[in-house]
Amino acid sequence: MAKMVLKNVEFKESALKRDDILLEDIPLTIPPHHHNLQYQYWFWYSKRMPGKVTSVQSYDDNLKLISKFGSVEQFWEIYTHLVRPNEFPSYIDLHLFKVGVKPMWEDEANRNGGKWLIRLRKGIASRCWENLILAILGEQFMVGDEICGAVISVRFQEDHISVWNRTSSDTHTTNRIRDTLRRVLNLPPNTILEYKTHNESLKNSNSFRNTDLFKT
Amino acid sequence: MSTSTQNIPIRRVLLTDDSQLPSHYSSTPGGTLYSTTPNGTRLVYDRSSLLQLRNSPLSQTPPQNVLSFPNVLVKEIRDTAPTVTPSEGADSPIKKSASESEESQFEIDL
Repeated sequence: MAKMVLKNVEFKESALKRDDILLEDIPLTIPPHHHNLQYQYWFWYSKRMPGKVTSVQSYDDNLKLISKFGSVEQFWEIYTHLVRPNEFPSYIDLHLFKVGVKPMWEDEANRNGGKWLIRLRKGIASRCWENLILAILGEQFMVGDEICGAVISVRFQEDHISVWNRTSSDTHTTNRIRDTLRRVLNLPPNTILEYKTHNESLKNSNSFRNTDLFKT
Repeated sequence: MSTSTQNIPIRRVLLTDDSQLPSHYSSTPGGTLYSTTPNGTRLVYDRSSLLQLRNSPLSQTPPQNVLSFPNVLVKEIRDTAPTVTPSEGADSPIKKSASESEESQFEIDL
């Protein structure tokens, strides 16, 4: 947060960016009679420029907060207005994270974390994504507060779903996340799930996502 | 008039090995694993109960900042003709329902 405010001063960013900061800071109020979720979440959005080297700076700038929610009803309010992933234009990433955790490797919650990556053939992303986020919101993973968030990345030839968790070295947790993914996503048989620590992706620079984040 | 209080029932399920966990994590005896922890209840929803709540009137309120959503991600904007400005596009379902309710009220008044 402090970093973003500092940036705002330094680069005199657009009014849109200032709205983001405002939205990020506004505490969420949940109306009475709503069904609270275990955690509060926020949706972020980013658009990748294919073939362009992305610095930390531009990745961060590209990231836009869409909305926060803390109840089942608030989730549906947002979700029903959003276009389904199958209909996204290519190179769009939609991120669902717990409030306070930004969808970036540098975030404290992600620093020692990793992700399960699932590559999907075109046409099934909407269903898998909906199943996934319902399982996250409903606490179906049963891994305490290990889940940081999830990302759907729509690309030209395939789509990617990833689930980020805090502690990549905790194999008990990562196995449990994998098993739950297999169970709730209703994946086609032979779908391969790959686990990648954020550190590993950072070194190799060949993770499908954020690959060149640290090239600056 | 006294109100009686009751302790929240706690059931402890002791597991000595990972292999004792059921393959479906939500099917531990006594509910989910977490609903039986002494530290309190975890808010767990299965898929069908979440989907059921989708139909609740409380879920139909348009989100407050829908106008600031990225245009490519908002159904109403994407579905409207390009001549319509984004703000009008996002507003249209809201306006429509508002005018509908106004009309019916007017009829009742007559």
